[in-house]
Amino acid sequence: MSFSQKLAGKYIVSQKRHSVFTILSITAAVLFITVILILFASFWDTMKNANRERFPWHATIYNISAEEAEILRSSEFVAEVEYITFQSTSGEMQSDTNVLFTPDIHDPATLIRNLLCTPEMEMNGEPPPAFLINQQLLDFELIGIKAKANFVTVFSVLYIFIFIFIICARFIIDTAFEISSKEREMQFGILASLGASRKQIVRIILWEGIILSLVAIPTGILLGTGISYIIFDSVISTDILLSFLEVERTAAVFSAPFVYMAAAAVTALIWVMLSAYGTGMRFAKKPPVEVIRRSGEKIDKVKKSRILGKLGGIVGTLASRNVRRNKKRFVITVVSITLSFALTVIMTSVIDYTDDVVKYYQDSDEYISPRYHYLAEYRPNGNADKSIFDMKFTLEDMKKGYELLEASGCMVQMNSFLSCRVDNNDLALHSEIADYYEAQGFAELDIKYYNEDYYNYIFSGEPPVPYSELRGGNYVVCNNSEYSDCLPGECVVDYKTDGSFSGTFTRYVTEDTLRPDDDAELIEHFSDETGRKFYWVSGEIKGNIVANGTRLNGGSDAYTGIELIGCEEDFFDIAKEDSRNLCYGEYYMILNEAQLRDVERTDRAVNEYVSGLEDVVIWMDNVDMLINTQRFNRAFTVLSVAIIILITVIALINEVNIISTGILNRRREIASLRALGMTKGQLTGMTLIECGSYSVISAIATLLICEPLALFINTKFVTGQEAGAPQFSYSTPVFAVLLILIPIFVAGVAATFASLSGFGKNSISEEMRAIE
Amino acid sequence: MDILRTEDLTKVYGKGENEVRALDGVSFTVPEGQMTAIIGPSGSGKSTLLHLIGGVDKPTSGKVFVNGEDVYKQSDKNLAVFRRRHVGLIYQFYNLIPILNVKDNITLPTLMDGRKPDETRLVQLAEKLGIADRLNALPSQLSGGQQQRVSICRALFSNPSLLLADEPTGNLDSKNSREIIELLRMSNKEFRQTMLIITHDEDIALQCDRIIAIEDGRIIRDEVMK
Repeated sequence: MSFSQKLAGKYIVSQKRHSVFTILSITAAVLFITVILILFASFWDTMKNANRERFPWHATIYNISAEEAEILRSSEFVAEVEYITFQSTSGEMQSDTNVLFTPDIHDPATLIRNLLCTPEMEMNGEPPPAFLINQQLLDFELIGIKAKANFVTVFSVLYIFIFIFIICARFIIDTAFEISSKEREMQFGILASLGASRKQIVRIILWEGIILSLVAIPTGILLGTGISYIIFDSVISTDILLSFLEVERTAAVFSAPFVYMAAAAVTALIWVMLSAYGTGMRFAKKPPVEVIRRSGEKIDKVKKSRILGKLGGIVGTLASRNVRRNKKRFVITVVSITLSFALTVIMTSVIDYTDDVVKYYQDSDEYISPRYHYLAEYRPNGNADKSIFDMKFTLEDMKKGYELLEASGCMVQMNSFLSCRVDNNDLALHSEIADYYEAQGFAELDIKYYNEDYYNYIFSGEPPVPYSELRGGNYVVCNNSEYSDCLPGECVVDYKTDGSFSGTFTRYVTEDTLRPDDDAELIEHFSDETGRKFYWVSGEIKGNIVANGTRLNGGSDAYTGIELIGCEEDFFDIAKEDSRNLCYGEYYMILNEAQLRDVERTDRAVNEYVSGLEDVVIWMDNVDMLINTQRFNRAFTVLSVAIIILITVIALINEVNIISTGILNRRREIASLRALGMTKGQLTGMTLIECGSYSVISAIATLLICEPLALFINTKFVTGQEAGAPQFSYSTPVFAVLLILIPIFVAGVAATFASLSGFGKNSISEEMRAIE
Repeated sequence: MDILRTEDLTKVYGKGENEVRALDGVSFTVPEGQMTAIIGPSGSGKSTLLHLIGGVDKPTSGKVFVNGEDVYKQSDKNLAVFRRRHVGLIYQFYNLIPILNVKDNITLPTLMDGRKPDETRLVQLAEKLGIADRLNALPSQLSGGQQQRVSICRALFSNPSLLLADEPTGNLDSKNSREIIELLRMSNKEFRQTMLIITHDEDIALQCDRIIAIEDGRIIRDEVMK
């Protein structure tokens, strides 16, 4: 055993506290690198697997002959071919040829064309066979030049993250070595004065690093793998795969490839060696006497903070100067804390932003209509597959469906409305709408009949008149679209002085539902593609407008801008007279707030309930999109929080390391201050201000970074949306920044007290003598 | 009037077989304005004695009275105040605070006391000690001799009852050593400053009013020269 190895071993055993601290630091560094690499590998393999489950072939070529399929099979770049023939609905024989390529293929599309397009075909002007490339699967299996190029792009982005983590890991290891070595700086000086060469001193620290790494690296890899699994499992359990790839969570693969673990170990070992070498060289380069006397710290320029000086007196001045006495240390600490702050701010902002966007679109009728979460239809007597025009509904049918769906627990509204023509003379409309109507020669309004719950719901519980007052042909006039230029109060500037109106409602029906009293000759009609004729039938409607209202969340997407709202009982009265023309059998189903909080469970329950009803189908499910968005949000939140925690832990470790080193390096100076009359309270105050300064400076730096960043994101990605859409903002998570400030400050304080604890045990002269 | 009195001052380091008696029942008094040299071989207990008098160490037994007040009966906080106001310490390696400039280093005890430094006194002292033009410099920009002058200036600035110097010329060349001793003598005469100086240098000791020789933690000779 060499002199260096022997001494390294002795230092490790004799300086247990520092050895444990260095092991912890290396472990943390390895852990961070392992987590990011394993998460990358796991998500990559999961995407690969999920894509395979969705469609396990690289390409499908349509309608080629068996001989052509054989040509494909014989290619060295094709691993497997599946040839399927089937009869189309029109009776023709067709084929699908599914292909798996070998990993060394260059461009699948070119290969297919080269193999299947003969010169004769080209000469005859025959088109090449149609085919579909499953690029996603190729991408994740890294097959083809395009996939490899895509991988380089993805990995470049990932590498930015890896780079940040690796740099942070370097800070941690470097500081750990500096701390453990600084305390025996004098011993290195003595060794040097006794004739130890630079190499020998560096080797001592290098051997220490290697020995400690033997414990730290496997521990870091094991812990990193465990933590990666927890993060991965949490993300997958949000059912994000189901939402976006339509595969079950069983498709998820937790992947911890040996090569990635080895990469983490090697990276950490290189960092350990570099840190050990750097630390060793720093000591070895100094003249031994300087190291023995500890007179190495040369300060030529120190910035001071006037604010701290004014607020904290001499203690504040000392603290502000201490913070900036070592530029490198100051920058490392501030950068690592700022990085963690900024990442937290950005990620919480993104989470908040996506939440806002989801809410925004939930509240608008453009994407997830607030009018209904499900649109259901009641089609009794085995008519589920028939067109709505082929159905014969009665009012009783309509009410039956209503009762059935009401039992689902959702608020249900029958889609009962009349499209009503009103003579221009009967209603004086908003000028813009009036112009439009004039061009058509008539005014067409939607007249809707709501039940009490829905009526209150659209006016957010504050209807312009109580529902009971609508009974008897009374109507509220209001906007029917949030996006209408027409303001609700202006919709109808004046109507007939007595408030009454009358109109003709129309509806088209099939020929077989025409009644003898329908004047078919005079009714307009049209035919569908099968030749069936549809006829307009009409009826009379009269009523009174009793109030103006503003529905908050939009209405139908009709262009008219206004609608009249009446009560359901009136509709039943009208429908009794001519249910053929009025009853659609459609129902809006709306979830309440409590159900929306646990929307996945509610959705399952509603779908389960409806699937048990023979005559009811849900044919439009807006909740799926809501659930998918929420799952994405949850997955994103889990991943973001995990990254935030990791980055914050890195910042904390660095801060603790640096504060501890700062104090331990200044033992003699602190003893001098105490000898000059500094009280323990002043000493604690000084070091606490130092900790606070790091946190406050980092918080300010974060704000300075995030303000332009938010502006940039808004300008680049958010603007261009319609007015009223949420903006990306970092202002909401200021509270989160304050929350992080607390652990950062507390960690700094803990490090301070831990480092100062030794000072209380010794007298001032012992403290000074111990160093000297 | 006696400024300093020690009674049976004892300091023991370690326990059992490792026990070292650095000071062993040292008792003496120092009258106001006296310049006393403490001499003795390395490890004799000189620095320990000085540190105990200066309130930067704690005796195993015995008492130290400065201006009639029992130094070690005070609370930690009051002991710190005692160091600021009643003691001026000069070390061999100066112990200046590297992040503060000369002016801040000198006025540091006063600033820590929450008082406003007397600018006139600062300028007068700095001029007498020959560092008036270096007040804005950082310690690293000064020579060893200049740093020790700053250290003396700091010790004298708050006009302490006692000035304690631990081998103040130990780290200096002969020219600087002579100048520093001159300065100490000048402040002793001009400000009637009571001083205890630890030194190995016989010439310096001979310039003092009194010489106390210590060996194995005990006073073996106490001689008043003037």
